[in-house]
Amino acid sequence: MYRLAFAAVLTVTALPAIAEDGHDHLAEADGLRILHAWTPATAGPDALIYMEIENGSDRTLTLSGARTEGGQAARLVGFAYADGVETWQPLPDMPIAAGQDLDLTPRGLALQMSGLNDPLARGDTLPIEVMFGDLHLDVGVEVEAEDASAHSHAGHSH
Amino acid sequence: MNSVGALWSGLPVLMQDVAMLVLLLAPGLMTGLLVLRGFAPWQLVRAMLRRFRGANAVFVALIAVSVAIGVGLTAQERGLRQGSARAAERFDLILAAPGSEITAMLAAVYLQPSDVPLLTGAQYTEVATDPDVVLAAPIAFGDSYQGAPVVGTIADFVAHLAGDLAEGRMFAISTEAVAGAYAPVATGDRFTPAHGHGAAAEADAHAGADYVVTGRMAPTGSPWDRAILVPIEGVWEVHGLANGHALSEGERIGPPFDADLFPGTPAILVRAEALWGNYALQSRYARPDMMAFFPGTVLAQMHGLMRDVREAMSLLAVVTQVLVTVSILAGLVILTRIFARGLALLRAIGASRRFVFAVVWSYSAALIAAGSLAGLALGWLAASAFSAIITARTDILVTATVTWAEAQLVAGFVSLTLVLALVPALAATRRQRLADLRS
Repeated sequence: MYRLAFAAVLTVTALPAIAEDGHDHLAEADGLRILHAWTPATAGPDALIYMEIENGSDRTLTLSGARTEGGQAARLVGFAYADGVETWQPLPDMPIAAGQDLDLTPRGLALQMSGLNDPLARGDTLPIEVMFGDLHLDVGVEVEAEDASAHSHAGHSH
Repeated sequence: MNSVGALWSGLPVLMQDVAMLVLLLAPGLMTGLLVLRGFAPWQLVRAMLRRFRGANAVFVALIAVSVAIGVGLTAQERGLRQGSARAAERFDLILAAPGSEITAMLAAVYLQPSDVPLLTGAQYTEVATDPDVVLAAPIAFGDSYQGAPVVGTIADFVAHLAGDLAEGRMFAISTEAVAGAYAPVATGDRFTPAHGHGAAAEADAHAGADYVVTGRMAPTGSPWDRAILVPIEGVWEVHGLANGHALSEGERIGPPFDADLFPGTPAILVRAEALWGNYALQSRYARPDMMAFFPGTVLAQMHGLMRDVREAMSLLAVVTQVLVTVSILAGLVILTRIFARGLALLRAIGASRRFVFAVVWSYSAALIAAGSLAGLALGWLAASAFSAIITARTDILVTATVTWAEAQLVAGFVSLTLVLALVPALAATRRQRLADLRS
C-alpha cells in the first residue's frame, strides 16, 4: 500500500516535468500541432524560422504567416537556387490538407521575419503567433546556433 | 550605423557594385591626386617606359599573371556554380527510392551512370494522380548508344526540358526516339542501344531491338544535350519487361500507366502548378518508402560544402598577389637605381624633390595599371578556355565571364599597390645626388 502511494507521488511529481519538456517543443490546438520551431541565431534584423506542422484536424488549414508580440510580421518564403545564388522567394498562403504534414526546413520552406529590434542569441526563445486563417497558434521559437541546420531536439517524437 | 546599412541595402545592385568599385579605387586615386598635384610628368614617364621596355615588360607580365590567377579562379568557380545550377533548373522536384540524394541527383539530372533502386507502379500512380501534380515524368536510365545515355521518359518531359523540338517530331510509338541537341545520331537514324555505359556497356545485349530518331531537341546547356530520349515503354520492352499498358491498348505510349504492368522507374520528375505546390509535394512525399528532394537544394548544399575550398582558393590568389606585389616593389626600388643618374640630373637642373617623387610614382603606377588591365584580360581568357574544356567533358554549359566581382578584386589590388608604390618613389628621392651623378 505504501509502495503504491509512493509510486503515485513520484508519478504526480514527474508529470509537470514531462509536460514542460513537451511544451518546450510542441504547440497544439484543434488537432493542429507545431513541433520544433527554431531559428538560427542572428546578428541582424532578419530571421528565418523553421518548424514541423502537422494538420491533425479534419479540415484544410491555410498557413498565412506569423507575427511576434511586438507586431513584426513573418511571411512564408521558399528557397530557390537560381544561377548559383541562394534566394528566398515570397510564397502565397499555403493550404495544408487534413491529415497532411508540412515541414519548414533550411533551404526549403521558412517563415521570414524582418525588422527584429534585437539580434537573437542562442538559447533565447522568440514567442510568435503562427496564423492559419482564423486559427492562431502561439509558438515558442527556440534560437539555435548560427550555423545550426536543425532543431537540437529534432527527431524526438512528442 | 544602422542607417548607413539601410541606405546601402536600399541601393540598386548596380549602384552598389559601382560604389564598391569607386570605394576600392579611392585610396589609389587619392594618392595619385596628392602626388601629382601641380605636376604633369607624363613625357618623362613615357621616355622611361620606352627606354627600359624589356624590364618594364617583365614587370607588367608579372603583375598580369598574378592578377589573372585571382580573376581566373573567381570567374571559373562562379561559372561552374552557375552552369551546374542552370542545368538543374528544369528539375523542379525529384522523387526516388530511399538512398543518397546526391547519387539520385547526379543520375537523374546530370545523367551520371548509377545503380539506383526503382520506384514501383503503385508509387508512380499515387504521384501521377495527386491533384496538385501537373507533371509526373518517369526517368529511366541505364542504356547508352556511342557513349550517349539512352533515357526512357514521356513526351511531356521532353517539352518541359527543352520546349519545342528544333527539328522533326516527338516520338509517337515505343520504338521512336528524340535526340538531344548534340547527341551522336541524326533525325532518321536507326540505332540499337547498348546495355550499360562506358567500357562495360554490352553492345549486343539488346540485339534485334532498335529505335528510329524522329526529332531533335533544342540545346539546354545540360548533359541532356548529349542524351537520346525514348518512350519509357521502349526501355522496358528492350529489357523484356511489361510496357506499362495492357495489350488491348495497342501501341499507345505515355501515361496513364497500369500500376500492375509498370516495371519501375529509378526517378520521377514532379512539377506542381501552384508556386507553393512543389514545396507541399516535397513535404508530402519525403517519407520512409520514398525520398523527395529539390536538386537545387542538394546542389546548394554541395556548393556550400565547397565554400571552404573556394575561400581557400581565393586566399591563395590574394597571397599570390601580395607576394608578387612585394616582389614588384622590391624590383622597382632596384629599378630606380638604374634611373638614379637621370633623376640626379633632373634634380641638378632644378627639379624639386617632389617632382622626382611624382615621376617615379607615375612610372610605377603606369606599370601597375598596364599589368592589372592585362591581367584582367588574361584571367578572362584563361577562364573561358577552362570553361570550354569543362563543357566538353561534362556537357554542362559553363560560361566564365568577368563581372563586377573581378573588377572590384582588381580595383583593390591596383589601389593597394598604388599606395605601396610610394615606397620606391620615396627611396628614389633619398639617394645621394652627387654619387649618382658621378656613377
